[in-house]
Amino acid sequence: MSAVDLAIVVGTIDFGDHDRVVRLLTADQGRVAVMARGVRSGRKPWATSLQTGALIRPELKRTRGALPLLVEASAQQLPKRPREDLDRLTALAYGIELCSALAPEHNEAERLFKLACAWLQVLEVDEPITPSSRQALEAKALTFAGFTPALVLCPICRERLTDPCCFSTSSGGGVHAACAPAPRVSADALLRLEALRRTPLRDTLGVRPAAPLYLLTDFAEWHLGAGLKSRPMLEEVEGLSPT
Amino acid sequence: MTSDPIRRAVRQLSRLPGIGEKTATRLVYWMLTQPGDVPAQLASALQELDASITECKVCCTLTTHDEDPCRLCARGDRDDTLILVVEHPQDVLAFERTGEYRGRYHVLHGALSPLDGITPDQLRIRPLLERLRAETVTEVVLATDPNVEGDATAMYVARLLRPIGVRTTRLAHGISVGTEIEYADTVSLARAFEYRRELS
Ligand SMILES: [Zn+2]
Ligand SMILES: [Zn+2]
Repeated sequence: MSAVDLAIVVGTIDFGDHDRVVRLLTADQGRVAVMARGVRSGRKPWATSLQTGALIRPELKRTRGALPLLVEASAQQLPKRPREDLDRLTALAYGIELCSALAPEHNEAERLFKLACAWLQVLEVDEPITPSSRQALEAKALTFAGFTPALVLCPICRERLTDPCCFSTSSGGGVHAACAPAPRVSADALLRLEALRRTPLRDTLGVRPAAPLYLLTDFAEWHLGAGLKSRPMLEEVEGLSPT
Repeated sequence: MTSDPIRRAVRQLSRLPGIGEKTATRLVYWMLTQPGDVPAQLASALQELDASITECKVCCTLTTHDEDPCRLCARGDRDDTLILVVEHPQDVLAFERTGEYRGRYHVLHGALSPLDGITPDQLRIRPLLERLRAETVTEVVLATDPNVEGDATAMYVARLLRPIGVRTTRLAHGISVGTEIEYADTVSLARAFEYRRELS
């Protein structure tokens, strides 16, 4: 494996009695899994940096085993506010899972990596995290992964989207109701998502979200061919929030 | 050529945490070549486990059908106003070993892990809320593990407890006793600083 400069810890899975497999998101190599030996014994102080959402500088060694060995990791930035705030913590888990799931394995994913880094930054600011920022993250992540949702032009007739509109995942996003029958959505909601897609993440806090709330979540899951594991918790916690 | 019973046993054993197919295969062949009836004895021990162990109807820790509520819940000399919430039955034993805690327990059987798809309905949170409605509890101490999953669980439970109006506290985090600061890991050290206390 070529040198990995920085990586975001996506998650860990216990392996055997002492080891952990660590899933990472990197700019140069996209999604990678590495083996961290002896990190559950408490004798490796750097092991505490192997937590979801940590930005680390990993030292990797190629081995004959199936996975590269994580020899050491120095924490560059650890999630702080998410560990004190449930909304931020679930948003963190979801955002990191989304970006890494959309990233290719062992292949360049610079924009998704930078987006995940920006998401981690947003989760540390003072303002409350609103679903609009999560929607912006989804729109951007899908775009960077090559699954840009149609939000302005109907992919079937190439005309501007006007009501009555539908959202057809298999057609690529928003469509005229007359072009493809699918669940109804307003043209205004699609434009709102397009605006979020183009706004820096930091500036999407407090913006009114587009309805339905999980339109692009469904779209991402459809493209991934699988459900995002952190979604049920995200929906539950967003439902508990006053916003 | 591997016969079906062997393959079935390997498949079942490799479901255990930390045991891969290779180890499971080794274990199965080891059992089959031992003197005495190792597989039968193991099977009967596991069957007995399955038949006799249940969750305590009060605190959800593991107990036997003969002792339900469990021994700790049945004791009359414990403080009923205090409930300590832990992730695993083993955590109860850890607190009992300290000899410091005199209140009651509640076992969640895990922690919320959004990335592993472990959601609140898979934990024993509802029985805890029911206890709080029925019992005279004034404080709930959240003693979940100091990691992301433990934090998520504590914050989630705390949010559900807010409308009930019971005092909710969380265990302090920091460097372990006996650790020299020089050797403490950065995360624990940062947390120890964050949760520092006033000295009188
Ligand atoms: Zn059209
Ligand atoms: Zn009990």
